Amino acid sequence: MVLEVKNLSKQIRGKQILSNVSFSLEKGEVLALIGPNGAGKTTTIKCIINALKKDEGEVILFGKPFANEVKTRIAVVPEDRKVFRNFTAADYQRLWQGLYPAWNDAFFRDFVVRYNFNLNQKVESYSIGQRTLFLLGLALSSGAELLLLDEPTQHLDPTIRNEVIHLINQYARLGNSLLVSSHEIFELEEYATAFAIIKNGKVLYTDSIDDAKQKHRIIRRGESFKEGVVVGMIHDEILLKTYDDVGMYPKLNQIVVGYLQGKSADLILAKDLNLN
Amino acid sequence: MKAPLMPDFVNKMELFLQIELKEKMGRIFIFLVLLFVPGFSVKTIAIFFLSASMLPADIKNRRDEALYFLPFSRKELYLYNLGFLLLLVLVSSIITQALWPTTIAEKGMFIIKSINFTLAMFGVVMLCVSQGLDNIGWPFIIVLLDALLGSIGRALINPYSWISFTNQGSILFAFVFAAIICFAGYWIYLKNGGEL
Repeated sequence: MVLEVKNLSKQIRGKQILSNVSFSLEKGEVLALIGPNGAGKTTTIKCIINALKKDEGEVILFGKPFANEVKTRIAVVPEDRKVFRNFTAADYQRLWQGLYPAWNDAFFRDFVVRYNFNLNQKVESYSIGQRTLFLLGLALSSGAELLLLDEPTQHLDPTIRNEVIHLINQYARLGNSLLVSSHEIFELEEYATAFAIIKNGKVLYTDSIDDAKQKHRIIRRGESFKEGVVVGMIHDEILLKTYDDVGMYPKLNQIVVGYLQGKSADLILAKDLNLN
Repeated sequence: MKAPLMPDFVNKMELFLQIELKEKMGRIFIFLVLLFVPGFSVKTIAIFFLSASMLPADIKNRRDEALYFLPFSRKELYLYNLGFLLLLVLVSSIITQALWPTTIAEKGMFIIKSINFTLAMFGVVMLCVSQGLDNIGWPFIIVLLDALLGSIGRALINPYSWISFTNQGSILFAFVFAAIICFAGYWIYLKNGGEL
């Protein structure tokens, strides 16, 4: 196990941001931390790397409780894309090269050429999209065994977004693990192998994508079922957790929407239909 | 692929200082010049602002998070910062004292007093920012209070004047007090960051 988060809780200025968050990440796995804005995804990432002190819970990295020494095996792309104000891309290259023992300079140089970065330009003067891409380039060049990417495809244009997804997949295929926070549910299946749905600081559901699809079904409103638990509504359909062979297998985004939407008043009707 | 570099203590300290110097070159240069003024009062002003301008300024302006995302621990950041400050103060003190017409004992005393003040000042600023206070105003009030408390009455009837980091009635006691403040700053900073 590369990362295990157990019962992580965090309060900020009296507000409960995380409440007993638990999930795990295997070697070579890409785990998508999915949730709406303000769900607690960024706080989770900050607590994992100890940029923010957790109140309760455990973060186990590479089989041991968090220790600063493991930070050379972890690279982060933060959500705010904050960079050192006077640092050029070349300064960043030197900094990361010095900090990460497994730094891959050849990859970084190719990346810089491919995306036409000026190494002598201050990174702060890049557009937000360029900065996102540059920070991703640093993380992918770090050789770190675990990447924590906070909304890595946000601010990127569609072509580059596809290329980034390809690079993420490539990085995972090398045996590395990635935790990717995102609220872009439609692109998740392109890179994630597992996911955790987080809302209001709580993990609603976590599983591998394949297993999650096996365990859920989509039924039409009014359609009856024998066994299972109603998870939530997706427009005129209902997401059901069941091993019964009813309805259709869901897509990942339907599972996510079902969990995030939850049970609404309309579902009471559907539940009643269960008895028919 | 380039041969991997082992990020040891010195290498990481150098990298951290590159960040600090690159980010705050202007400010640091001005205070560095002031450090070379021979008088103790001017030196204390330079030490005060230098202490406040480095890591404490990052914490106060919430720019420290960028450092925690990198393979730096709070312990390392504190020690690198303090080490850099002490080095600057020591070197500048030795140079200025070498050129100043005073006795060896006076030169030695000046250097130790400067070191004591640096330890206390950095500790005070770190204590303030770790408690969510600012890096200039509150430390300035504390320096004023220290100076005030240390100057009340004669040294014999005011034990605080022995340990005061501005007065330094007793070099040894002042050193112990400064070291305690410095350690308190370190402890609180690490404690708040979940490293203790």
